[in-house]
Amino acid sequence: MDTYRSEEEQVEALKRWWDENGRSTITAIIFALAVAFGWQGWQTYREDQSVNASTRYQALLQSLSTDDTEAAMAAAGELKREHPGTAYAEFAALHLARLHVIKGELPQAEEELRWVLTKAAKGSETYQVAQLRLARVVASAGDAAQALEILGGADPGGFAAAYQMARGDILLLQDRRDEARAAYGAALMQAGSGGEPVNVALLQEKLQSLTPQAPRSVDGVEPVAAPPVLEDELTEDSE
Amino acid sequence: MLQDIRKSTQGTTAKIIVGLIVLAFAFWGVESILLGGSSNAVAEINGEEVSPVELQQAINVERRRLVSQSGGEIDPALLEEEALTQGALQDLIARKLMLQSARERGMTVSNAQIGAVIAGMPQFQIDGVFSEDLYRAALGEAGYSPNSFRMAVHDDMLLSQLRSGLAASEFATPAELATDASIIAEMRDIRFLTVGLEAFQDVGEIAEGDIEAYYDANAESFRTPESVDLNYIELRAEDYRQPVDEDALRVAFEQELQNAGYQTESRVSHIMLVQGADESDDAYAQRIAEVQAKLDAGGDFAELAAEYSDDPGSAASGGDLGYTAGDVFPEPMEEAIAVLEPERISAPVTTDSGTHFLLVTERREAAPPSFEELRPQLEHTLAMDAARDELLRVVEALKDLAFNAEDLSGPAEELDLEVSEVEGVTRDQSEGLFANDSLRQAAFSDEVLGGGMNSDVIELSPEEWVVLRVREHHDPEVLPLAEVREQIVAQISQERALAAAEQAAQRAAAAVRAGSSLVDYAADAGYASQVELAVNRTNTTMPRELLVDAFRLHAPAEGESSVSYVAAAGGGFYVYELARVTPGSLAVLPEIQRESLRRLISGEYGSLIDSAYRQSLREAADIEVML
Repeated sequence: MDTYRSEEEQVEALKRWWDENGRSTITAIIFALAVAFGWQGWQTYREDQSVNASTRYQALLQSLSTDDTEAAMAAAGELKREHPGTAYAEFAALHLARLHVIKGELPQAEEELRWVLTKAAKGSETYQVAQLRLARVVASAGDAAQALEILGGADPGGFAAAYQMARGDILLLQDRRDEARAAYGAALMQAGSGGEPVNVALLQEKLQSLTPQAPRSVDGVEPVAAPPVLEDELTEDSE
Repeated sequence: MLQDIRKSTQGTTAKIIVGLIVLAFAFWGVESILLGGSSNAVAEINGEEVSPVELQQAINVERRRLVSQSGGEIDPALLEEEALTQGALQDLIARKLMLQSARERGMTVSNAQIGAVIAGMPQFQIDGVFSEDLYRAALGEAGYSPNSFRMAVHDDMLLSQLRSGLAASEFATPAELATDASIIAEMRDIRFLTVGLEAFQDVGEIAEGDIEAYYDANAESFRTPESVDLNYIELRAEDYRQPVDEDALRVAFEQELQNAGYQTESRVSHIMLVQGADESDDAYAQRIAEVQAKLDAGGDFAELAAEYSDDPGSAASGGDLGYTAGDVFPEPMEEAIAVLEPERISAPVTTDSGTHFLLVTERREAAPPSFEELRPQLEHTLAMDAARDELLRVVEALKDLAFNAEDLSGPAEELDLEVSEVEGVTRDQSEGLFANDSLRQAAFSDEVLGGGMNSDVIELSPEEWVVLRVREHHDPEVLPLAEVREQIVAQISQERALAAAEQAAQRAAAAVRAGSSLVDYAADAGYASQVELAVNRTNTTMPRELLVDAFRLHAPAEGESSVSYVAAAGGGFYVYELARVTPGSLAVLPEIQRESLRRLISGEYGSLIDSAYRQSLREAADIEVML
């Protein structure tokens, strides 16, 4: 590029450049600004959504901690409606499922869990947990076969122990004791495998009750009548 | 030269390079160049660094937890930095992983939420109102800055949101409650008799051959414990105690008097008037004059406080503010209080809060103790302070000398100390000076036991220090038969008595199984018997080992019974008959037990979910520990 000889020439050159490219430059700048502000706005919007959902969720937890079921259910429903794409909405639905189960409203609980399955990413922890709970609710509602099908067809991810425990519970419900014992055994094995200690006293109790023992053998011992031990002879001995 | 630079930046390559630099600044900021590179992180978790400060905080938290859990009685070795580091780091990693996972889910906690939680914490409140002063003081004490505390609260909230979502939304279905209740609340009828060991203690003479055979078979268990003979120097502050100078005592006494506790205290009430936002100066002055007039006219102070005082905290209680020793209220108030006679009312006093009428309702005159009263206490404190200083000086000197010396006699001579001796200190010594863990660890350490060196000068308390070295090491030795004969006779007797008792238990079990009544058999044989109907797994009136064994047994067929026996924890045996097994039923459980079963089931599923979640986060993470 040549150096310019005088100021007038420089100005002239700029003017010429502007006539040629001015319009497109302005368009480009406006476009860039629009994208930048739009992106920022979208981020802020997402952030606001998230904060609002979080605030609502905190209120839900507050209601739960004071056992105010009605307020909790209302808050959870609102969260699901207003912020359906957030993790908080999924958690709210899980809490709703729990509250329905406590009230014995299994169909409603099932509905909430199925809602979570439509929202959560397949293979995510939330999905796997919701599926496990769905199977348990379905079993409790009377359809053990479908429950086992749900569990069998699902990928338990890291939750293998809990899935096996649920299988054991469902099998026991059907009085399939040997299979239940095997499932409980597998659950117990996997529960301790990760190095994270877990208290599974109930599981152990169930497993034990499915593994009864025979009385101690006294074969070959003469079933003699009680030896006529004299009380005073005993006391003399011990002195 | 500038011309050259200008030319060389015109090339395409140069433009690309400049463009890349611009982009780098745009995305990562200047910090990426100024601060990047040199890092002293202790770990990196999925690219997030853990700073030494964070680790230190985690260690402090863990230490406080251990101390408060043990009620202060804990081996100091367990509180050492090294002992806590690994555990604290693992906890920190688990926490970071959970936080990352929460953020990945788009979870967030806003500043407003954090503020609300902090304002609601009762430890920062006075009379139910958040106090900024108390907040800052409490944080300082716990080693937090307001910022780092907010951060900690933020993290805690995020963690609890995540946990509550997955694990705490766990439940127990009606079917699970019913099945588990049938097992947990199962009831069994149990009759049992106790074959005590006492009746079988007389096992007669034990043949010499049996004793020798037992000795040969169990020689390993008849060894002396490994032990060491030690030389040691013990330094105690007590030994450096010197008489205290009389003048120093006097000075300390004067200081003591000036300290809090011996001051005159006044109990104060007030009527406070505050100028309203839209109140004119004249109106305010008139209000003050009105109160003044009523007080002058002999109006009741408490009633006037209730009517006029703008201090809601005290108005209802007659204006009472409690006691001051001259340092509680703003200075103008304290000055007025100091010269005010009890039961007299002050002229209006103005402070930043408003205008006060003050009344001293009670005055406690100071009653300082006399010099003679305080003397023993002061003497002890001063003497021990001086002794500790002297002790520390000697300890420092001893540290240097002992580190370089071949044995302890040289340093002892130089510092005019005494070397003591002790023999037969074992690894599990439980009595005397060397029952102390730190001392035993030092005595059996590689350097001292293996290397023959002097130990460090070990602090047992600020007033007691010990340095030691091993004079002689005794390996375990097999004891001669003569020394352990009695012990062997006792053990053989015990075994035989147990065997005889077990035979008796087996005879009883066989008889009951053959059709005898357990209760009658027990009566005939002189055994105690007991009948327990419909006991469940949580029964506490029966021996635990018997209960556990009886609940493991196959349920007998309807109308039949099973007979077995089990060793009693304190020696002897229980022979028992299991008659009837009734599955538990949710319907007959009291509500409180139903609720606890519900918690048990949901809690167990919840903790399985929780631990599996942590586990899978850890497995998927890229964790690098640089310690």
